[in-house]
Amino acid sequence: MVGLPHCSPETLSALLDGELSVGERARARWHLESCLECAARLAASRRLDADLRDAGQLSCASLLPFLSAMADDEATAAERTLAVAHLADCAACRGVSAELRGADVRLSTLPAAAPSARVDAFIVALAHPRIRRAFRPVTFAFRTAGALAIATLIAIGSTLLQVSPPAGDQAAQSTEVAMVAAIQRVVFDGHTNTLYLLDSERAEVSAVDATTQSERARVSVGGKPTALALSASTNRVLVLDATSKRLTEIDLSSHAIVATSTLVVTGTPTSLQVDPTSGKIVVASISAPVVNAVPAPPAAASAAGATGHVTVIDPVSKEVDSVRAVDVAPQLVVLDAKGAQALLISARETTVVDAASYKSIDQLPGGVAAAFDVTGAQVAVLSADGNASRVTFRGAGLPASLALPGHPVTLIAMPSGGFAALVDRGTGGEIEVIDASGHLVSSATVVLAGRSVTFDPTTARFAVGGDGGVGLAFSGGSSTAVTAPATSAPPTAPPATAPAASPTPKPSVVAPSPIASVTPAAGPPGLPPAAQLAPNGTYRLALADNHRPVLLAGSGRTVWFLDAAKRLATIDTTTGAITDVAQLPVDGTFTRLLLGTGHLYAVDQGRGRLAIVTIGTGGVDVVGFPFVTSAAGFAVGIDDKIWMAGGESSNVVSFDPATKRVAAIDFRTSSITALHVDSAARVWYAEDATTQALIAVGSPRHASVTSLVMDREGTLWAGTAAGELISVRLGIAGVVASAGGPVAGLVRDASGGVWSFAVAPGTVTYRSLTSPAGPQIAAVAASGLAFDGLGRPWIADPAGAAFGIVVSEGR
Amino acid sequence: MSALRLSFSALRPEPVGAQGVELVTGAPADAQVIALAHEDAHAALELVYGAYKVRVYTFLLRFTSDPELSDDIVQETFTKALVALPGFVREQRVLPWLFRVAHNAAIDQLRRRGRFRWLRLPQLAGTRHEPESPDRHAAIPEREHIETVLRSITPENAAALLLHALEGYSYKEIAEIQGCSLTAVRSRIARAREAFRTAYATTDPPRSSLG
Repeated sequence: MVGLPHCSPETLSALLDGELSVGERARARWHLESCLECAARLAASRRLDADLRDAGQLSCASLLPFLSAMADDEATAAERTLAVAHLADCAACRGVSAELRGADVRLSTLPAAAPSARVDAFIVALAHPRIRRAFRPVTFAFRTAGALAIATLIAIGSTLLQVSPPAGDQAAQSTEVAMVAAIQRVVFDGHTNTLYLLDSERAEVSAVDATTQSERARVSVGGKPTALALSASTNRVLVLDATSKRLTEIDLSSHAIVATSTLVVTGTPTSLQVDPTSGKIVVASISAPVVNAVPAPPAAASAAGATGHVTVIDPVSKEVDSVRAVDVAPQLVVLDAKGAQALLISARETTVVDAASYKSIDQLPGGVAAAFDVTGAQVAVLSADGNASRVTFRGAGLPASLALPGHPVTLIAMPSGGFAALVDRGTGGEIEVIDASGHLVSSATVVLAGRSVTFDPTTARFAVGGDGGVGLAFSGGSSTAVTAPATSAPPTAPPATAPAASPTPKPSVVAPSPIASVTPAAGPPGLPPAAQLAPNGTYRLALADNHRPVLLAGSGRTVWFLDAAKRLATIDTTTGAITDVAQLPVDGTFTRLLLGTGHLYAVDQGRGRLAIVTIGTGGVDVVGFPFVTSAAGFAVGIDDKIWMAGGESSNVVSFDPATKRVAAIDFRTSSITALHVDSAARVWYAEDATTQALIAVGSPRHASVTSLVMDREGTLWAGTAAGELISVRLGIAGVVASAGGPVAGLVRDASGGVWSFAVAPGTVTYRSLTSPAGPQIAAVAASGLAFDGLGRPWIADPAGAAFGIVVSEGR
Repeated sequence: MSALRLSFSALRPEPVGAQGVELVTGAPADAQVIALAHEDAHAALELVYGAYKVRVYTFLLRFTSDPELSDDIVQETFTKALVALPGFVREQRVLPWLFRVAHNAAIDQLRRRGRFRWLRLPQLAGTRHEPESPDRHAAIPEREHIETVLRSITPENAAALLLHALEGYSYKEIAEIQGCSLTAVRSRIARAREAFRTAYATTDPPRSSLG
């Protein structure tokens, strides 16, 4: 029978031994009737069996299994007799026999090896299940090959995980960086609206929702942590332990410790900063006391030997980039937002230096805190002046100084210009807001819950805290004191002050005068002032210049959109400011926008091509789909490569915009409907209904997967054309929820949560897959969905030339 | 959960070889693992993983010559173990079960890969190396040679030999792991050995005295 596979030796052997099932036997016999070759091999085997029975002579080849089995003591007595008889006469087989177990010896010399740390971490996580199990109500295991069938293993190398600051990302110059001024024990992440609060005593970092003031996470870092810094480029909070010089890094999305390292820093670190332009870590330190045989004169030593170092450290490798010896003992180093200048602050003097060379540019009085304003042109230093405080200025249009009542605590720059100083009035704290001309414009009392201040521009509130980790206090509006763990009253707070750790919210925080420069916008915080509440309950942001948004990409503060006239633009979700980026080909039929780290891809499925926009320059390259003329699934990896698959081709193709190189991999299936590249650079794909794995198991309706996304926890989510939402985790799939209609897309928000959205005429149904909230329906004609930094959906409404923004309670 | 862990600590064997061979390898007795799994599958998984990860991974690495793939299969195997362990009966054996699952997944993957052999991108190499052995005389070329020979053998034959040579499983146990007949195991091991013998006979310069 032509074309039928031959019987394997195992099959023939099993046939002789009567070990085949009825069906297998029938198939084998049928084949043998028509295949001379197999029949001959069967006859040879029969002869072998006959030889065995007759104890006759064996051929050398047929003896091999016996010799091998004999070496393992696995031969039967009859086999052994036969083999021994043969060996006695056959020198060749004696040679073979002696060498056979050489293979075993060679194999056993190979070293043992252990699985990688990622597998260890995975199993540890598996063995210590977290609360998230609640989201897998329906679980069932894949068949053996299932999980691997969709997890196609295309590892691209771990070097991809090195994160470089994305060029042109507005986050790089976000306001919170410019505000860092004192040794920070509170930092604010505007993207996730989270305050990070250092509890030095307990060696914990607490993440607090700035709006609801509820604690999101608490991370134990150990040791004696002294300072926090926010690293926007690596999406981490850095925690410095000055005693052990240890740097602990906490991921802002997962709130897990992702790295610890020991800093190679001379002396004792006094402050920690992240350079907003380069992302590099800047550590100020004062020199360790010189150990001399001769005891130094007691008083003179501290003054004369008071020198320090500024060490710049690479954020990825933690290797020292540069070390500058400075002839002051800096308690603090503050960088301007452009990274051009720095302030070295000590009690005796404040030195303005060039940030590259650390050459002194100017000298100002010493103080407890100092800051550049947002432009970097003005400097303010806060210092003690008898029993009061004084702010000394440097820069055009500013007076020499400004006197303030109360003891100086700290000073920050305001994102809209000017400064804010925190002073201790004896009865509590007071925040004095100073404008760019050096005048006091407002003041607000605040519970002095700590000695760090941060300002949240979206809610126009100050948060004070971080001293010993006792609490946070907010200024402004109806906000109230909030707290972290009630260990003890704040050491600096006088008894008259309401303890910050009070369990009941107290209206002790008031803002007597509105802060002119930061007046909250109309409507809910964090939305552009122009957003108007529409009758359907959503906010509506009408767009000027006839922008009719169709497709959206990105999440967080900046959302990219493509309008009906194929113009690509960005919108700042807090200010509403629109920046036109590029004009894409007007004859294109664009169906997807995908945002990489350095490029944005617009998929023109109509003409089978990609418009590749370089972020930062806005340059546009239009290239035909490499290798394929159509594709169904698209994904961008963290290495910025775009992957595509599906259509009529069986290739999965990747295209690197930097090198223009194309790699094609033949998956032998043209039924791929969706792709996803995870952070480990693995490509996941979903095949169509006729094939196995995800669909056959996960979609009872045998619908195509339209979208694949992985959330912050590593769960892969699939949405189908039948409206099913499927989670795949640890090789276990479950139909979790209904999307309310064919899934138009799955979107990740800024904190790594995943949302589905389904579009029907005039409405969009969206639901969070990573929180227990049910589906929500907005009466907006939608063509796309993205999320702002507060996790609020922005819905593209091309017909209305507007964005619909849904502001729900509880987020 | 702490209560369950306490009850397990009572089950834990004495640390050093008081009970014979099985403890010498640091492996817990199967009966204990299964008893634990009936109480707390997650704790049992942790125990089993710690005890057997090196053996399963080493087998897979030899078998597939691919650290990444071996990682993935180890992960998949132990993930399945979490689900399966509580269903084990007392007499069941844990490690052969793990080998069976790992073996089947690897065969499946190698078959797939056979169809698109060139999927092995150049970037795959060097992503993560297995631990270097002490650099004995020509140890590295020897290792590469062994791996080359292993790759030239059909997966079933290679697996049978590896299970026998690395793990010392009997033919009967290998037949259970591979899901085939004893005769097949015998034939597979013999063929794999013969492949090694001929590979070394043809590539090595003939030794001065043979046999």
